Amino acid sequence: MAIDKIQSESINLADNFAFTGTVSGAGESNTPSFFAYLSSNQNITSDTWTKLQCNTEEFDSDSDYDNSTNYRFTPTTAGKYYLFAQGFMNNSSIYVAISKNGTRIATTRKSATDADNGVSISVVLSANGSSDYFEAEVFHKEGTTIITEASERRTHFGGFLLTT
Amino acid sequence: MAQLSNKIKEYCKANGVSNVDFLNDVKLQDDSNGQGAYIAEWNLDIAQPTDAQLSAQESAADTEEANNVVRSTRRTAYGDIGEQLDEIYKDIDSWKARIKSIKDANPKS
Repeated sequence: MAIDKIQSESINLADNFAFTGTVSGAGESNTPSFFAYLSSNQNITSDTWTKLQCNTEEFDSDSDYDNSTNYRFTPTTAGKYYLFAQGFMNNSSIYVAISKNGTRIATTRKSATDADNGVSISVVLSANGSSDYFEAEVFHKEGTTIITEASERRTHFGGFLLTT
Repeated sequence: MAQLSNKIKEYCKANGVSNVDFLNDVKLQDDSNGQGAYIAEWNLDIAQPTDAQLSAQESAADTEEANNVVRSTRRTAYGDIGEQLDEIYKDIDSWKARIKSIKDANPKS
């Protein structure tokens, strides 16, 4: 039964409420959302910010992620988005960034202290729901080509709407 | 073909700049659209090189790139720094011999 108003009553916030039905109209749907990863290792040339080509989608709720040409997320709902990305290189320092409209907004790095170097980044950014887009990039300084690995979804990019 | 960053390093060396910071001095970008890397930002005092000036550095950059592969191979073979310190503490001569054998097996150009 839909409740449209509460009259002459009060709710004791210290009471326990056991819902057995469905509460609708509350919370957020958190879409658009997507998660994509590499289907095969991607070569990264030295000293060059290189866009991740995450071409395999786990899901893409509103088809807002381009997984074949520009590898970018262009959300069609205005709001604040939680975005995350990860790169993974062997025996190499690694930088990972998330950019908005072609400008790097958030970056992180890890030195080559481990043979297996995975680095993740996350950030919350606003989007206008039409032209704003987000991309993920990686960078290293090894002086030669290094791969960011595809195995076990080690290189990925994702995001979802936090709130409008 | 040598990587753009290595050709830029060689061009800078030839013009009196011994060190290039590719996070600040020169920013290279690859949009993963099949066009390869390009110079997105040039903040050094010396002039940005032309395509011809970069092509002239091809051979030197190839050598540097080959040496970078050797450096990477050596680094992997050297192993973890902590383990090496332990190795040095226990028997420094044995460690030196092992490092030398790795260098000898992976010579630079």
